[in-house]
Amino acid sequence: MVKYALYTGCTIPYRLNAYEASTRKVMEHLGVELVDLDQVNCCGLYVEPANKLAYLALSGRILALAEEQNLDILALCGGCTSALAKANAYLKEHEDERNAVNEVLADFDMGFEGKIRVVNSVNSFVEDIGLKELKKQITKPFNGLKLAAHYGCHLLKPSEVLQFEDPEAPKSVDDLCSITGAMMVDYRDKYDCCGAPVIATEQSLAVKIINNKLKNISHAGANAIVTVCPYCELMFDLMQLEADEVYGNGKKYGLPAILHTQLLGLSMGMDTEEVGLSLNKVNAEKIVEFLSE
Amino acid sequence: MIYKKSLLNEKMRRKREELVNLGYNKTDSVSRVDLNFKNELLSMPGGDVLKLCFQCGLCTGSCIVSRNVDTFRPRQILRMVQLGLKDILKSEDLWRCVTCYTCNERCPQGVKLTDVFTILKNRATQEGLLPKAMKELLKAIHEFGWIYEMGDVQEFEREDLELPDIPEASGMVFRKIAEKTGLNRLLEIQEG
Repeated sequence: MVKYALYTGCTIPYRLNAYEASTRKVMEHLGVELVDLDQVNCCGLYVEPANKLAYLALSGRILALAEEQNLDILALCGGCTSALAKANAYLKEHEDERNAVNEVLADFDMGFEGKIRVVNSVNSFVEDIGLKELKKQITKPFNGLKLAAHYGCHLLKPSEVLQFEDPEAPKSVDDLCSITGAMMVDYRDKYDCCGAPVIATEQSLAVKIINNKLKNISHAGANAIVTVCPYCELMFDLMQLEADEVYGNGKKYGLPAILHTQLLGLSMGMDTEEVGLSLNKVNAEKIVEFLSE
Repeated sequence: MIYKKSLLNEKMRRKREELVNLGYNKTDSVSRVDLNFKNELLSMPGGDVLKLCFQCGLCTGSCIVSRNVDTFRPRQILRMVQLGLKDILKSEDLWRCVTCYTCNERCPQGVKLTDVFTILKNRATQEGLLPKAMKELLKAIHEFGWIYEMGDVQEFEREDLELPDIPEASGMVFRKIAEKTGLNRLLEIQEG
């Protein structure tokens, strides 16, 4: 049986509880066991630009917590996934930094050994659970729903660390969403970043970037967008309203942006409340109309 | 795409203006070369590959920020580092990288640009140049353990979705790590 230590980070509990709820329900449905870690801390993503050692110690402590239980970490956020996976690889390779981090962790009676993996939900579905197994659980497939997938940079890159798939031509999210019956549509600049990482320092740039993506997705004729990372989801959903305001000239995109776990949950027969669909800022209820009876 | 000449001139004028604002002009840029700075960066983990950059510009050509911000050019930033132009630390452009790793993946010379940017940002922070918004985020983690202060809204939402309590982020853990790694000191430098 597949079993993970779940690390949800900060953005999911604060702004995107629907992601955690839909993930827990889908995983439970699939018989995957999730263990909550006690006394976790911030992954250090925002600390890395200021002080790399502090970031390595923060991520290192989370890795060590999961190591104590001998469990791989399931991280849902792209930021956490990349922070933890990068720290895991870096600390294994760099002895000096590993010793420095372990000196810090000794204060908590802990130490980093580097014996577990960090996976994201998409890795888990595609590699650990398997799409074949997943497809057996799809009882209410979508019919005629045209979906545009957004992958999320930090789930694929740096590829030598994440070792998941070719970041220039990924297909995991498209493959994953296809099994729900959705038709995946391609769009211009599909693999571009959503702009979220600069939202704190330069919001106008982030909105400009997401507006371009929304424009291209809209041109491709998609009914909705599917995302993996909570930051991307917030850019496509919450910040879509901002893009409407700044660039819309009175018009609205009205493109629902849903999480892949919400999509899976719905097609497994869960109701909209279970996957938190009403919490989406851009009305996403209309995608339910595409579900077969 | 063929640029109109006037547009190109306008872009060059703006770039020149930004360089002059950073303290450069044709006559004095050579005197600003700081070889210690260059050697220091080259000696850091991930810094040694800097000298492999042969200025092909694939990074800038691949960059989503460059497409949206006229002044942001990763190739130029690398060249400035290669030359030892330390004033690059003062540039706002350092903080515009979205860390999408596209240049990192594509560089034919294996230069890990995103890592180079991290090194530069770490150095800028040491010089007291951490942007205010970033400092606020770090202070929030210092106080709450997360970048946000969780409250009733989150509690109610989670209750509705039948989720367990929010994992208690230990602000104490962060403060201890910040103290031991020197992050606290860096934040104080900013405050001072």
